Amino acid sequence: MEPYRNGKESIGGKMDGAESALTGNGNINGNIDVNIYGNINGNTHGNINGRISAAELKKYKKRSLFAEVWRNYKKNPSAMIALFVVLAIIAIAIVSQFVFDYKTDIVQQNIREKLQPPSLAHPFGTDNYGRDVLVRVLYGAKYSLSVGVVAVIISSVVGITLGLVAGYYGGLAEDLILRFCEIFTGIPSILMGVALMTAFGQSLGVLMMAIGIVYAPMYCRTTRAAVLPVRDEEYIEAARVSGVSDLRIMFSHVLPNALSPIIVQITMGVASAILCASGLSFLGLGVPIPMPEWGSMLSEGRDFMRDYMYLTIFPGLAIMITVLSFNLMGDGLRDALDPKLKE
Amino acid sequence: MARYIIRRLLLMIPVLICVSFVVYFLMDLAPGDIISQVAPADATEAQIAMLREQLGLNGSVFERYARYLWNLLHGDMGMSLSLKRPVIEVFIERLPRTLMLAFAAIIVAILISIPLGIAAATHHRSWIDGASVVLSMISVSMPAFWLGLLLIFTFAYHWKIFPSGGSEGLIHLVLPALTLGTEQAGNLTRITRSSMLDVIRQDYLRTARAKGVSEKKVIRKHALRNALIPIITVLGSTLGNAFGGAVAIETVFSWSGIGRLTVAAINSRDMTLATGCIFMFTLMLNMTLLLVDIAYAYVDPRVKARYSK
Amino acid sequence: MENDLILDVRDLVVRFETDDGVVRAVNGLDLSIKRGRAIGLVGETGAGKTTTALSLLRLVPDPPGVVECEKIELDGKDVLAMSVSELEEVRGKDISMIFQDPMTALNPVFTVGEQIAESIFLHENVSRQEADKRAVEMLELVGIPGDRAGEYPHQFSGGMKQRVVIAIALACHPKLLIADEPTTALDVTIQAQVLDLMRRLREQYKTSLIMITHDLGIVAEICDDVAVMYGGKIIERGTLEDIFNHTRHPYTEGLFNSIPNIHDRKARLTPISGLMPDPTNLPPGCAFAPRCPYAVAGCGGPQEEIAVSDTHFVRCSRYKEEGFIIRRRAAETASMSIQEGKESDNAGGGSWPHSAKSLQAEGE
Repeated sequence: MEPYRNGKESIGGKMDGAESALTGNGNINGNIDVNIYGNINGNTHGNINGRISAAELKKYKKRSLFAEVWRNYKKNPSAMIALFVVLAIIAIAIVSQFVFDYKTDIVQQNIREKLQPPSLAHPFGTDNYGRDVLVRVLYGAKYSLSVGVVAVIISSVVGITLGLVAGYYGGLAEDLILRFCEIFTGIPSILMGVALMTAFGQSLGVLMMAIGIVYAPMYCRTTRAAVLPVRDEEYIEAARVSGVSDLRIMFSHVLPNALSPIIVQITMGVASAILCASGLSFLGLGVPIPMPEWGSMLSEGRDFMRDYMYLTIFPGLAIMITVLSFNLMGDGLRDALDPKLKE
Repeated sequence: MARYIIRRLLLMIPVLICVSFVVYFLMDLAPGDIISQVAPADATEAQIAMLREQLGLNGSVFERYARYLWNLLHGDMGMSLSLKRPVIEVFIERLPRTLMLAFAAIIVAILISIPLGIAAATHHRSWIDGASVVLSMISVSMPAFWLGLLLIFTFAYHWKIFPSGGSEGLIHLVLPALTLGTEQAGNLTRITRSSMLDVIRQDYLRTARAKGVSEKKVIRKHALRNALIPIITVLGSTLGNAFGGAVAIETVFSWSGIGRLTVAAINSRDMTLATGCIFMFTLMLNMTLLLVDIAYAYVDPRVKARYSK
Repeated sequence: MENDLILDVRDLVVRFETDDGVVRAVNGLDLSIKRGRAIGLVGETGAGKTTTALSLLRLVPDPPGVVECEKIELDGKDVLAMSVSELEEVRGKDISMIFQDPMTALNPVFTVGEQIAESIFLHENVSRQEADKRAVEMLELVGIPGDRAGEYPHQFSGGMKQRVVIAIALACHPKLLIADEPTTALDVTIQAQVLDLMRRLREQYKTSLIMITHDLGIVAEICDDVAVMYGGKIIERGTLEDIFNHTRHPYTEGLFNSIPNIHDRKARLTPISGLMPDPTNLPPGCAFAPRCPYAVAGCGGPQEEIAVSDTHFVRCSRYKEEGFIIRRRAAETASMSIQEGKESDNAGGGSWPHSAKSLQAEGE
């Protein structure tokens, strides 16, 4: 079954769910009814002209969009594995807070047991202070995850807003915002991160903010690029004519229709934020020691690398698996959101 | 074309000025003061104030920045307070190392990714395609400094083929270039593959085959030339990433380029050196992007036509 | 006698083995073309025309395409037995192809001169300079000023691009030219120019031609013979006159009935009802039977070619029945028939004699 007859109708369908003020136009409405019914009920619904309440429309749209993406996503085995790994890492991050005690299990030194190679008692070995590496790696999941997620929230809120304004208004606002983005993208992100961390001092919060700022221009650009083609659609024009405010148009008409690339960017953004955070920690500018952030564990383990390689292998693997999972999820989402793009 | 280049260069100026301001301001916010490192331990308040005046560190941050910018616009990047040498001199002394590292890395990345990407696209859905997808995903997801550590352990400590660090000669370049190159290769492979897959389906390749052009030439001449267009864009950002990635890699391999220099400058609160280095980094990045856009015009006649307008 | 044929194809089968099932594009196609003749390969989109053409050059993408064939002989040479390098020699030299969409058929990063010269340089023993010079001559031959040879495809209009494609195809004076809907993507006025150009050049070079099209008007204008394809098979073939004036196959009749009659604007069109069969799931027997107004139970059986005359063949088992005849006759249908001198007074006449409904009723 063809989900949509043509692109125009599909866009119409999406927008209508988001805003019912527009549905006064009978012509458009008829189109959408057919389209949405066809989509969900497989054309079995005979009453094409039957009116649907706005609430019902909203429900249909959400269900169909989410179900469609999920159905496509499920078909991708690597993306599914990645999803389970991410869920597992989240579970580890949460559970480890309750199972381990920060003072005794994570930071307390135990010199008698220092630098023991992996064994049954310490599957990943112990570090130079005698702390169990496995426990620290498990506990450390929370730092990487929280930095990744919070940083992405900061950069997406800032970036998407700027991108929407730039894309929707165009003109001077667009020019200024794009120049502003250029300032930040012109500086290598790790250096910008180093400068920000130095300026505001080392802490988890600053790290989140610094990475959030560093990556915000990327969201701004993605959003603007996604908004540009939507900006001139007729339904936006229609909303404007019927007196809907700019702010409302931007967030309830433009944004939902430009969402696919932004969702992908957000998923992959978590991956890059985690990588960047670990890089800063590795340079000694991220999370302050003795917090078991994976990057700073790597940095500490580096001094003992020649003889105790396991100290660097495990935290590095943890970073890689986490980042890889988020990247694979982003890939899977991209394919699921737009099956046409898939080769 | 010349007008286009001039326009781009002019647009770069405000961006660079803003960059210098942002960095200068951030450095000023940082706790700690270079004066405590420069001044003798038993210096009195008055002596320190005089030293500040001498070094141009008096006044509000805006006054100081205005002085800095004024000098900068006259081509004077100031003195590094921690090294007590002109910033530009230190920078130029270290620059070749970073350039060498970045270009060697790009060459490694190109040598890995272009053949792999092409093979993956021409053998779509074969084992080589699958391998390229997996490898590039891993390379994108791996922290480069970690890969560097693994390489040091394997090739320097275990097999003792290459030195673990230092920046004396070409032999020291091998591992850092390999690390940085591998990091960049992932993205480049993905782009090469998808761009090639896209081109391979184009009708004009069928036209070429119908003319009797051999398959090898169809791929190397007709397809690659078209696929190169997106690859070149990414190559530009790859070079930019390589400059950025150099910061961590230079630290891992004790390669004394400007990446390490910048980090050291920031850590010692050497405002002029830090601002100068980041300013130059940004300038290099922007010039690279401009060069890429020019290269574009030579590969794609359609773009050239647009620039000339 | 054998040498009289420029192309002889026996039992060509092409299928695409995709994830969604096996697409049977061509199913046992026989085709022979006499030297110097032009044959029109007619059928709807999806009938397997382009796939047939590509398999003659052995350019069907593999995978997923699988080509099986008893014989493809080009000018007496067995194409199936050729090595890759022999094939490359034949392509563009003995047999060349004009593609449907000129907008995408030219490589955007090479000049049109380079693209024409490449063919000449590959196949003829000439220097680069000589090839370039001949490319300019070819360009002028197709009506483009030679000094535009250094320009890129994006600087040309659609019609001009198609002229360039024709110049590439004819650069080495091929013995057989395959034109795959060469005018479909063009404006009507440009279509006429391009067709005129093709006819002129074909006469000049004595090239045999396979004209793939769904436009019977083009066939009438350019071709000597016609082969009608449906569901990957040729269901009727013969001379222009055979097909246009003595139509036998119900599908061919349907094609003619789908053409607007400019002489009778009030006449209604009689489109063929239904859709092309799904090529992953072709019906047994006659593929047209589900849409055919004359279909009977026997149409599900094997369909052999039945000779109507020395030149005219039809693949419809109903002709085994005594006295079976379809409704359309030349005398009744004026808009699309080949008017030989004596019949020219037909021009003003007639409307379509049957609506789909009445045909259906009579067919039962």
